[in-house]
This record gives sequence, C-alpha cells and structure tokens, in this order.
Amino acid sequence: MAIKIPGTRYAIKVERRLEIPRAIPALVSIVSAIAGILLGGIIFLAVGINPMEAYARIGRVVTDPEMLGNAIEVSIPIMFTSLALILPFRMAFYNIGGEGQFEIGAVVAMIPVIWYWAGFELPGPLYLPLMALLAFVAAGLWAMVPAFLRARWKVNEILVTLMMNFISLQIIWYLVSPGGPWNEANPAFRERYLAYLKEQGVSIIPGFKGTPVIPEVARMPTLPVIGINAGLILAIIIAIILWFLSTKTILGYEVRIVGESEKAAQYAGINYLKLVLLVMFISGGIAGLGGFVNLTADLLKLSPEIATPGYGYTGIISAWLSRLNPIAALFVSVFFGILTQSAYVMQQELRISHYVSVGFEGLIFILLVIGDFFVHYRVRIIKR
Amino acid sequence: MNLDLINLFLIQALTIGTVYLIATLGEVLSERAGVVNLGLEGLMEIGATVAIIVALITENAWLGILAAFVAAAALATVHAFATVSLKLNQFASGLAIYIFGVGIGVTFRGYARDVILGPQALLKIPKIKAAFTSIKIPGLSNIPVIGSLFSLDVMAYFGLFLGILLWFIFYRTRTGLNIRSVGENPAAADAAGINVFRLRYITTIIGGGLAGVAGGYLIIKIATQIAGETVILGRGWIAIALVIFAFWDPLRAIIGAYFFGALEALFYWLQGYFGGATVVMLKAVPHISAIIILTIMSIEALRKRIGAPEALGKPYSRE
Repeated sequence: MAIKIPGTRYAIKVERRLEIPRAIPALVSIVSAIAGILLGGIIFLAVGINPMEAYARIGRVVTDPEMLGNAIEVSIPIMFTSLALILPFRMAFYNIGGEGQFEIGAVVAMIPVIWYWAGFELPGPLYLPLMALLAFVAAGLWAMVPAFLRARWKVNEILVTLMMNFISLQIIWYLVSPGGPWNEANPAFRERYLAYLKEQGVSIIPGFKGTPVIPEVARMPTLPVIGINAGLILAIIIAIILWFLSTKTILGYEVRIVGESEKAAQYAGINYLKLVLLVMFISGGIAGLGGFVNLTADLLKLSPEIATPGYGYTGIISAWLSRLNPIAALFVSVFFGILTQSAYVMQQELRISHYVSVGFEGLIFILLVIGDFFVHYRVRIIKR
Repeated sequence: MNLDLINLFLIQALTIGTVYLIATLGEVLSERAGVVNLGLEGLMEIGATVAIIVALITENAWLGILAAFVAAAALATVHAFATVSLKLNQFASGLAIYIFGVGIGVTFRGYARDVILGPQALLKIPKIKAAFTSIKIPGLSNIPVIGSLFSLDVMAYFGLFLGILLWFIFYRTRTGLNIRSVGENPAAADAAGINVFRLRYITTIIGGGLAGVAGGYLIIKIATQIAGETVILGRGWIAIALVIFAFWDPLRAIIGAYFFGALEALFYWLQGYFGGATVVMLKAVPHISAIIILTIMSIEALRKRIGAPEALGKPYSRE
C-alpha cells in the first residue's frame, strides 16, 4: 500500500514485515515511554499546568539518592505484579487480576500475624517463610478460578479477573472495618496489642480501618549497604526462574505454542485446561508474593490502602512494555517506580493527584499499542 | 415496611440502572459492528470529569453532559484509529484507554476542584443537579409503591428511549442491518458495498460518547462534592459484562441494567438497616453476580451455539 504525499514526488509505502527484527519491539517500547512522558506534558500544558514543574519532580526523584531509594522500594511490588503476568500473557490469557491476587496474598499472609496478636505465637524464624508460602498458595488458587472458567466454558477471563479485583478489596474492607474480625480494636487482640503500643509510647488503640501492625519478628528485613528491603532479592530470583521456565522447559514451550495458536496447541496434544490452571497458579502466586512483600516491608498493617497505588494495574503496562521478558520487566518496573514516586512528590508540592502517574501510564500504554503497528509493518518513504 | 423506603430504593435502583443502561447501550452499538471497547470505565471517568467541570463553569448540566459526550467520543476515536485503521489488538487498546481515562480523569477533576474552580463552586452543585429532578407522569406517579417508576428524570427516559431506538435501528432499518453484517461478516458486507471502516468508526465513536454521557450523568446526579478519587468504581466493567448478559440485544440490556441497578441499591438499603462490617461484603454482590451471570451465559452460548457477533474483536483488512 502506498499513500502519495501531495505536491511531492514521494509516497509513503506501508508493507507487512515478513520477519520482525529483534531490536524493533524494544525500540518501540523505549520510544513509547519517552513519547508518553512528553505528550503527557502537552496535556498538562493544555489545562494550564507547567509541565516543567512536573518534569523537575521526576528529575529530583532520579538524582536524589534517598528519593531514588524510595522509588526502588515502590518498584518492588510492581516487579512482582509485572512478573506475574509474563506467562499468562505469553499464552494470550489476559490476566487483569494482578491487583486482586496481590491483595489476596497480603490478606492470607496476615493470618499468622493475627494469630500472634490473639496470643498464639510461632517460633520467630517461621513467620516470613510461612507467610510467603500462604500468600503464594492462596493467591495462586484465587487466580485459578478465572482460568478454570475460561478453559471449561470460555468465560471471558478479562472480565472475570477484573471483577475479582473488586471482590478481594471488599474482603479487605470487611476484615478491617471497625467491627470487623481483624480490626485492631477487636477485643481478642486488646491485651497484647495495648501492651505493645504502650512500649511505643501510645496508650490507646485508635480503632481505625486496619489490622494491628505487624510485629518486628514478621517484618521483611532490609538489605545491608543499599538499605532496600529484601523483597528485591526475591523479585530477582523469580525473574530468573521465569526466564528459565519460559526458555528451557516444556512448560515454556507449551505456553509459547498456545500463545501462537490455540488450535495448533490442540493438534500438538497440549491439555489447555491443565496448562492454564498451572500457569495461573504460578501467576497468581507471584502477584500474591508481591502483596506479602508490600505488606511486610512497607505497609506493616493490612488496610484498604493497599489498593491505593494500583500496583496490579501498573504491572499490566510494565509487563507489556518489557515485551514479556522477565529480566527487562525488573528494569521497566524501576521506571514505573520512579514515575509513581514522582507522582507522590507532585501531589505534595503541586497539588496534583497522585493519579497523575496512572494517566502517564495509560498514555505510554496507548502509544505502545499504536507503536505495535511499526513492529508489524514497515513504513518507508519512496520516490514515485 | 415503610413505603418511603421502597420508593427510595426504587429511585436509587433506577438512577444507577440508567447509568448502566446508557453505558451498556454504547458498548452494544460498537460491539454489534465488531469492535470491543474495554475502555468503557476510563471513558466514563473522563465523561464524569468533563461533565462536572463544564457544568459548574457554565452552570448548565446539559452542557456538561454534551461536553462529556464529546470528550469521551474523542478518546474513543483513538481506539477506533488503533483497532479499525491500524488493525491492532482491541483488548490492549481498550485496556490502555481504560487506564489513561481513569488516570487523567481523576487527576484533572482533583486539579479543577483544588485550583481552577475554587470552593465556592461547590455551592453551585444543587443548582446543576436541578436539571435531573424527576418528571412526574400525572396520575401514574401517584400510585403507591410503584409510583416512583413513573417519576423518572430526563436521563432515565432518555436511556429507555435509546434502548428502544437502538433495537429499532438494528432490526428495522437498513443502517442497522449494515451494522450487524459488518459485525458478523465484514468481508461479505464489504463486497455488498458497505463501508466497513466508516461504519466501525461511527459506532465506536458514538458508543464511546455514550459511555461519557453515563459517567457525566452519574457524577452530576449523585455528587455532593467533587471527588478526587474515582467515581465510576467498576461500573464500566459491569456494563461490559451486561452486554454479554444482554446477548447484544438493546431490549435485554434494559432489563440487565435495571437489575444491576437494583442489586447496587439493595446494598445502600441494607447498609441503612444493619450497618457494620458484614454488610460491607454485600458491596461485592454485583461483581459476584456478574461472574456468575457471565458463566451461565457462556455455558448457554456453548450449548446453543449462539453468542457474540462473529467478527467481534477481529480487525478487518481488505487483502
């Protein structure tokens, strides 16, 4: 197809690429990210906000060591929510439920802590491994629901995973609202919790929406030297495992075949139901681990605020931008961590909602989708 | 049981039902021509923001609704461009529109509230809400209990009218037949001389604009302040599920929309009675119901071999 450029001897020629050069998808990702930030500035300008003010905040987050550290802390949950999506997206199973799986992980990880405050204490070193295991398994099982519905009856997985995000948040609201079973003011925790708070110099239990805080014994340790929580190591390990799974195992091979064509997979004798259940168990589990890390390293208590940053949704864009490469996903997550952290600075200093980072993310996503055109088609200017 | 409470319940159910209805009908329109728009939630959020800002500045709710239509339609144009012209993945494009719409919508609403409009704008809210006071049908509206069914506001009547209109267009006009054939078999439609691309653009843009109207109506009707958080709260996604529930039929969409409006109203009603933490779980009832209904419809579709427009979600190219 050629489109003439009026008044010149040139035309734009669009042709389908027979083979996609390796560098093109990565290039489109990078251009989308940069163009998204620039185009976002123009939208800012249109409503009377000086974009330079916003860019200056991003610049400060990148250059100030303390702020950059915070940004990397913020990027850790995003690493989990984007890594979680790599396998299902590769097999064209659109898991949009990372947010809910993340939340379920945090909820179930909280169980030993609730026991602790109710007077049932486990040996100290057991806490973190047990909580991580509970988070992985519970979130994995949660994520198998849409997988089963899709495999068995072709129920649209995008809608089901999304609806489940609202359900998981409502479970948290139920547990931690005043009067709810896990609310910090529950009389079952009263004696131990009040004694703990007194040590901290607080004499009453406020009874806000939220659980009691996580005791020191169940908190994620901080890495020496860099001062970032140990969840980072876990994310890196998972990225390496995912890389191994997808390139060196039969599971990775089957995921790739299904992603290319479900029909072809059928002929190749791949059991779709079994595969999608396993993939979604792993996917939900990874997202759930993210919730566990976020809870034990950052939030330190379970409350509906866990949903405020929308890490599960950021993970979708991060996974897409990283072209479903687990190692790239780690770095792309840091990029979104910086963006999210900058948005919090903008909220404080410029009175712009922290949702502004979501706007930027959406814009980058739109450009990335449109940029896909250049992945599949070659656009050239030719002489007529 | 108190009659006033039943009336209140019906009014809430019909109000939220109308939001669902308008958004669902927009999505029915675009999906009938073969384009899934998963960006509904974002379009509604943008619609809400633009509607409340314009309505407060002009002190006219209708201008707000009109602006919401235009803004959401403009964003839906991007979706049409990506999916119809560039033939890109409709799911990805819709998700991008969703996230962009929510982010930008909430950000600018908060910014307008804090910086542009100022606190005195809040005083104008009752005035713009007046556009949506109920119109009582003489006689019928005085019937006890169900009287409130005959005292709807203009937008509720508009929603019902739109549902009937779309049904009429789809099944009784040439244009409707063309839209349906583009959604079922674009190659055949193209061969018959129908402009597939133009029709898909038009339906996607109008459908998106209607989502904006639904968001605008929602915020003006229920707002007591200008929220700095999302106000759509997943209703856009429920509307997409409702399209499947309705089997892409505008008249069935009316039933589904009011049913989900009632489910949501039931929560507010029970909250008044019980309060406390347990009732909070009931807020998830619409979402749980949506999953159950989606499952039932999917089983049904498999069994009867009926379902979505054949070319739904598939780009069309002349090659």
